[in-house]
Formats: sequence, C-alpha cells, structure tokens
Amino acid sequence: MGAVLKLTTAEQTLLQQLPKGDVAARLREHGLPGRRKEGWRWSDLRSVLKEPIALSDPYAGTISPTALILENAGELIFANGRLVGHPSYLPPQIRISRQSAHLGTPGAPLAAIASELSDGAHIVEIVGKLPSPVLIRYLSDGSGMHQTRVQVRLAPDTEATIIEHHESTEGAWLSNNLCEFSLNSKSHLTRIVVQEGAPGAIGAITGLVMLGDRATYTQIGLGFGGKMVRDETQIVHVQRGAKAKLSGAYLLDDKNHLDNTTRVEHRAIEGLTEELYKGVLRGQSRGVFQGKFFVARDAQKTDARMSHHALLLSENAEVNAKPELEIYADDVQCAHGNTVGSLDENVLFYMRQRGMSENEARAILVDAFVGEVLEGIKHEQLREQLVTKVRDFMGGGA
Amino acid sequence: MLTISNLHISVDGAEIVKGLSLDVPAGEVHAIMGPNGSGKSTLSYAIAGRSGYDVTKGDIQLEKKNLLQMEPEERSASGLFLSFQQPMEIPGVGTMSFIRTSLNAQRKARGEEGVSAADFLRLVRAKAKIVGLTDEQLKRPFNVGFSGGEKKRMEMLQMAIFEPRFAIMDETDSGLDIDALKMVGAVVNALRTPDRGFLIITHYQRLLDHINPDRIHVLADGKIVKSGGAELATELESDGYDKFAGEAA
Ligand SMILES: Nc1ncnc2c1ncn2[C@@H]1O[C@H](COP(=O)(O)OP(=O)(O)O)[C@@H](O)[C@H]1O
Ligand SMILES: [Mg+2]
Repeated sequence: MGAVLKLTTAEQTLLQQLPKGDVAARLREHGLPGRRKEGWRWSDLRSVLKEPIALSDPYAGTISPTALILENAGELIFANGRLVGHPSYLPPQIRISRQSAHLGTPGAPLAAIASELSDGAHIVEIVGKLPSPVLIRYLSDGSGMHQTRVQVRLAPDTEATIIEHHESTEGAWLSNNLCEFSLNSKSHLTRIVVQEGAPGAIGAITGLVMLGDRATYTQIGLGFGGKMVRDETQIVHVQRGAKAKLSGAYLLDDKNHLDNTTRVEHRAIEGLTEELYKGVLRGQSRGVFQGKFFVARDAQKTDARMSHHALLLSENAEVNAKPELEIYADDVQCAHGNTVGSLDENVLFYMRQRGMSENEARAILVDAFVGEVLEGIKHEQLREQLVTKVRDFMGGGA
Repeated sequence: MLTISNLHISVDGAEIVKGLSLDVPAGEVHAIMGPNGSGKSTLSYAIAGRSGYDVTKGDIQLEKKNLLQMEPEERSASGLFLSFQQPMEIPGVGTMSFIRTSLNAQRKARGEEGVSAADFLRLVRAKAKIVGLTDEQLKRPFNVGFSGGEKKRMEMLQMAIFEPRFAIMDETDSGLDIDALKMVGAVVNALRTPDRGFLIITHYQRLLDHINPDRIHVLADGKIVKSGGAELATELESDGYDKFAGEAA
C-alpha cells in the first residue's frame, strides 16, 4: 500500500464535478473501475475513458417518435439525462414525482456516481394493475457525461411492465443510468431492457431490485453493446418466497463490447431465481458475463439456477464468462452452467442440403438460439419488434 | 441422370473412395450395398457437397450439370435430396417452419413461386399421413427428442414433399420395422417416374424387397467391385461381403 493512485485526466475532471463526500473520496482513492478492480476485470473502463469528463449539454437532436411501437404505452423520455416534455398516456395507477432528498448511495461505483450527480431521483409510484406498459426512453447525443436516477416503487399486489429503451444515437457520450425497483409484497414487475448498439458510446445501466414477500420479478434484456457498455443487475430477495427470472440476449458485432454483470442475493427463505443469458458474437466483439448467486445462511430452501451460453460466429470475437456461487445456507438447490461454442457445422450442412443458403441457415439458428430468451416476452407487439432486431443483426451476413 | 466417373474422395487426407464410377439413368433405382466403413456415406456426402469431403479426382454430374462446382443448396435446388443416415435435431426451430422454409428456398432458387402457408399445411397433412407422423409430432421443434425411426419418417416426409429429381437414401431402412419399411417402399415407388432417379444405400435385402431396384452395386473399400440385377441382393444376403474384401484390395 502507500502509493497514492495517480488519477487519469478523466478521473480528475470527474472529481471536480462531484460534491465532496464518500463518493468523491472513493473516486480519489480507487479511481474509476478498471481491470484491477474486482468485477471489472474484463471491462476496463478506466483505460477506455481517456478524455476529460464534462457534463453533457442538453440534448441537441430532435426527439424522434418512439422507435418501439407500443400501443397505449405510457412514455417517459430522458434525453441527455433530463426528463423532457410531459410524461404521456400515463394511466391513473402511476404517480411521478421528483425527490431531491438524498436517497442513499448504492455500492456499485457507477451507480454511486449517478446518484451523486443526478441530484435526487424521479420517483415512479405504481399502485394497482397497470393496463399497459410504461416505456422509458433514454436518448443521448453529443459528448460528455449525463446520468439519471429513476426509482420505481410497486405497492403491494401491483402488476406492471416497464420497458427501458436505451436508444442508439450519435456521439461519444457517457451515459450512466441508475434504475431502482422496489417490489412490495405480492407485486409483479416485468422489466424489459433494450439497449441498442452505439459504437462510439460508453454506457452503464445499473438495475437495483429489492424483492418483497412473494413478489415476482421478470427481467428480459436485449443488448447490442457499444464502445463499452455495462448492464449490471443486482437483485436482493429481501423477504420470503420471491421469484426472480433474470434473462438477457446479447448480439455483438464489430468492436462492440457489452458486459452483463448480475448479482442475486438470497437473504430470505424460499426464494427462487432462474437466470439465463445468451450471446451471439461476430466481428471483433467482446462479451462479458459475470453472474453471482449469494445465498445467506438464513436463506434456506433457495432454488437458484443460472446459465449462460454464447455462440461465437467469428474467430476474433471473444467471450469472458464467470458464473459464481457463494452459498452459506445448507438446504438449497443451486446450479450453474456455461457454454461457449459455435454453430454446429453438421446442422448447417443439413439445412443447406434442404435448400437454405448458408446465411439463411445461420440466421435461423441464431433466431432459435436467442428465441429462448425473447419468447419470455408476453407483449406480442414488442416481442415481434425485438425478433426483427435479431433478424436485422443477422441480415448483415454472418 | 447421375453420372459419376473415376471419383476419388479424401477425408482428413485419407482416401476413402478410390476411383468409383456409376451411372444411374433417369427412371431407374439403383442400390449400393457394402460393409460398414466401405465409404457409402462418404460418397453420399460428397455428392451432396459437404465440406471436408474432398473430391481429389473425378467428376459428378446430375442431368449434365457439374455438381462439384455447386454449393450444397444449389445442388438441392437442382433436385438433389439426401436422406441422412443420421438426421439432425434442430432445437428451437419448428418442424413446419423448417420444411416450408426449405421448400420455398428450393423453389425460389429455381425461380418458382413460394408455397402459401395454407397450401403447405394441406400438403404436409397429406404426406404426414403416408409417412406416419402425427400432428403433434409436426408441432415439435424439428426432430427434437425423436427416435431413430421417427427421424427416418421425417426424412421421408421431406422427400415426399420436395419431390426431388434424384434422391440418395443413406440407410433409411436401419432402425425401421416391417411396416415402416413398407412405408419407405411406398414413398419411393410413388415418386418413381421416368424423369427421376434413386440411389439407395443399404446393408440388407429387406428394403429392396419393397422397392425392386433396377441394379445393385457392391461397394467395398471405396470402389464398386460388382454390379448386377436385383438377384445380387439375395446372393449378398446369404453369402455376406467377405468374398469382396479380396477383390477390393
Ligand atoms: N468425418 C470423418 N472423419 C474421419 N474419417 C471418416 C469421416 N467420415 C468417414 N470416415 C472414415 O471413412 C470410412 C468410410 O466411412 P463411411 O463412408 O461412413 O462408411 P459407410 O457409410 O460405408 O459405413 C471409414 O473408415 C470412416 O472411419
Ligand atoms: Mg454410412
């Protein structure tokens, strides 16, 4: 120890933006997360962020109509971190407010920075059964850093679907979004996270989820990465008998990088977690999957299963995967599986013998592979649009 | 129709087929019999264009078209069908969608119109009845969890739907009971017209009883060592292949 960390230009300038306090002190001591930091080995944000970090100007582009067509969906739009316009079509079950009181600082380093700079949070309170989904759009352009903090609170017996669309826009920005969800007893939330490819962009999406008594949470992601994108999800089974279904598909091309990091903590008995991530990589892309189950001593009768499967369609693509179990209870069922492979040549030949071109055969196999994740989306109109995105990805030829 | 001359095939640098010539004229059904490992499947893969089965010498023509210069899917669109010895399972891909995509890919490549979903459904229902596959089986992902015999029925279903000009059937009979053999015979015989040809690879006479081939060839150690009429199958059935081991060497 002893040696004081030499801060990068990015860190120095970021430090100037941060109010004095723990987050600033931590940044000064440890810097931004990078390959030396646990949990960031394969996503070296520190070395990717070279330029000085300023806060982004307001969004300069026009706000296009939503790229995802969802009939009757309520809509919230954040552009360069600012809530723009008035939320539209929000059903009476939702109340949105802004709370500037300090809400506590999350442990994840980027989430902590987002909470520090975002000056409070947008609170979304939902009571009752939402008749249609709520779409939250995140748009970015220009340069610099912007952040949001959104806290979604579900009252007991509430049922809701939230779709986050992190849209692909031009520029070299750093977007840092913290999304918190607290599910009261017997509430049900479906969270769908669509992250579009943004080759020049660096992004962090941190989802923090607290599960109450017999709450059910379903998360389905579709991500295309960027210069470096981290999609981190932390779920805590706070009370007994909650269910979490955590899944995501990622499709990476060119030099895109996407890091899916998940941590599920079972702190109460009879919790269930099913986790499934599937990746398809082309070009020189890099995928990271880190999944951790932590089962506390009191979390008996936990049932937690994790799998991650990746398909490499090119020799230069790379996946790093680290499934991890840390279990202190004795009466639990936990399992994990991880495979990285390529498309089966025997199957490809069979399909070509039947008349399909090689590209068509590959696209069908990728569709089927990723389909296992997307078929979990009950909203048909949305599912079809996401399936189309998968087809478009393969349409460019494999 | 299918003309193979002096064909040499290497797999991983080892020569497996060593100068094979064969001519199946349109309208005829030929059978290839031979011991395990003699190169029957290797021959069928090379005809269908599988990579890794390197044709180092010789020539394969289907209706005067040089197959060796065509991609596997082009050979398929030209009317070549291979019934696999070990058909593939394709998780996540529905059977109906798989077969319809195949059929329409072939048709599109030939400049024909695609078959509508409704027409296709009618076609599949009719042919599925003949090959003995149920509606429930057609709803499953392609071949997933099917027994060996069911997979062979699925091959016959596709053959009946595609109506290929030339079909190679690689041990379609293995794993099938008597009724299923009759079904295979019926599918072949229904397609047997003056402009089509078949090459049936088998170990046993029992399938040939239902088909009655025009000619039989014995393949041993990568070469055809004997050809004859349907009576040759009976001879092989009683005497076995041992006596050909010497002739091939
Ligand atoms: N993919 C392969 N790799 C290596 N050897 C192979 C491969 N396919 C076939 N062979 C070899 O080629 C020979 C012929 O095999 P095959 O054509 O399958 O015979 P058959 O179908 O007549 O039983 C065998 O010795 C087999 O071991
Ligand atoms: Mg064989």
